[in-house]
Amino acid sequence: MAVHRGGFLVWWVLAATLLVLLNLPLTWSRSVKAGIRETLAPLHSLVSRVGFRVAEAADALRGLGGLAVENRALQEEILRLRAELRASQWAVRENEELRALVGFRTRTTYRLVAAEVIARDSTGWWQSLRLDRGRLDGLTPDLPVMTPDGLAGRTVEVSDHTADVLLISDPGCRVSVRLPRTDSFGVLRGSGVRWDGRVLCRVDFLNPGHAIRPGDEVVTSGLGGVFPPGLLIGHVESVQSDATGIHRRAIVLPSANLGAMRQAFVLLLTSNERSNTARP
Amino acid sequence: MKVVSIAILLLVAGLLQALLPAPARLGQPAWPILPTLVLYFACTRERPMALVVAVTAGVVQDALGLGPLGYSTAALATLVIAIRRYRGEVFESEAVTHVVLGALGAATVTLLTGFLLRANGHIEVPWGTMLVKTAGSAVLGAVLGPSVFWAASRFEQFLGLHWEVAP
Repeated sequence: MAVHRGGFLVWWVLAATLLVLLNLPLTWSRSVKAGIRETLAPLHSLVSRVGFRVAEAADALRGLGGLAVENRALQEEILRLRAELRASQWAVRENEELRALVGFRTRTTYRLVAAEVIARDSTGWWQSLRLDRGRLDGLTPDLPVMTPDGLAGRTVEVSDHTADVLLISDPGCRVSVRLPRTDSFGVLRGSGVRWDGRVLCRVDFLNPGHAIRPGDEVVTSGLGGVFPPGLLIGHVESVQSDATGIHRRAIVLPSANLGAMRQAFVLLLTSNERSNTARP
Repeated sequence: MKVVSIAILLLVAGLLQALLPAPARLGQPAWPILPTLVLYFACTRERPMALVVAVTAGVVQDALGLGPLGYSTAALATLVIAIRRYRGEVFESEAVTHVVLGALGAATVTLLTGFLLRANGHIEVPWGTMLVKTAGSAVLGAVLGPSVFWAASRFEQFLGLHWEVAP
């Protein structure tokens, strides 16, 4: 009888725990999640840094013979980039002068927060990663996250020292995009990761009258209030008709290497900058 | 000491699960370290303790993902209940058994969690992808099963805890 009572008690406690967990108010749920993330963040950070150092050391050992060649190539690259930078600075100055002449407001230079990737989604159901910067560094949900190569995603859950980023490869992440060559607009969403490890996205609702070609650049449109305009996302790989036949769909290869990200930059936007993202 | 050992093992499992990259060729499932650890405790502890571990592991797993709390807990608790029910018929301390248990356990947890998340609109994953992920999870569970059982039992032996299959 005592065993039966004990068994009943176990069932009752389990059911009650599940009910409480599933119906926890959002603020409490966030607090619990943030607490666990904050506890694990230093360990995640430590282990991932050690892993990076080991990987770097292995890369250095593997590439020891090619260092001189690589060094020469890098010096040439620096010279080329300096020349490009001078040309760009001149173009920016000229652009600002012209914009001032026609009365456009000056574009904002966004403040960037550099962060390291310390963990990835541990459930397997989201394309996400965790950064080692959080609320105390000025981060909030819905901020764009970049790599030097292009857009990576947006922040979704932020604790004091960590921020979770939903990558553009996740089917739940949607970005309003523009294809500058044809001035086409569409909505980008993630298509996950293919079996060969390639990360793909697709752009839906493209105008079938626009001659979109493989190789076309895809950038953020600035509509939607999260991403400012002009952030590079990737390039069109192929174009196809959608199921309805009314619109076209483009498969896009993201420029950012989402599968091997180690560092990222979060764009700190004020609410004013967010609301102005769609303006010229 | 027993509680401390469980806490350390859960912490390490949660840490590793969030760090190991999901293999793309298997549909990108997470390495099911926490589910396999829950299996270990389901096989070696009394039911109440195994369920406490399942609830704690579920909270840790959900906290490290983007979903709400409770889904992994429900899946892991179901796993413990199933294992406790059939453990007497299938479980022996053999590597092959651990491979089979690891595969079935990881697949069950992945499928249950995915189904619950999808049914409640938290993820947008096609059924085909979900099945591929479940199969991939089973492969990873089969690989992890013997390793996690071995590592956890060695750790408990190291701490001086007596490891045996609970009656």
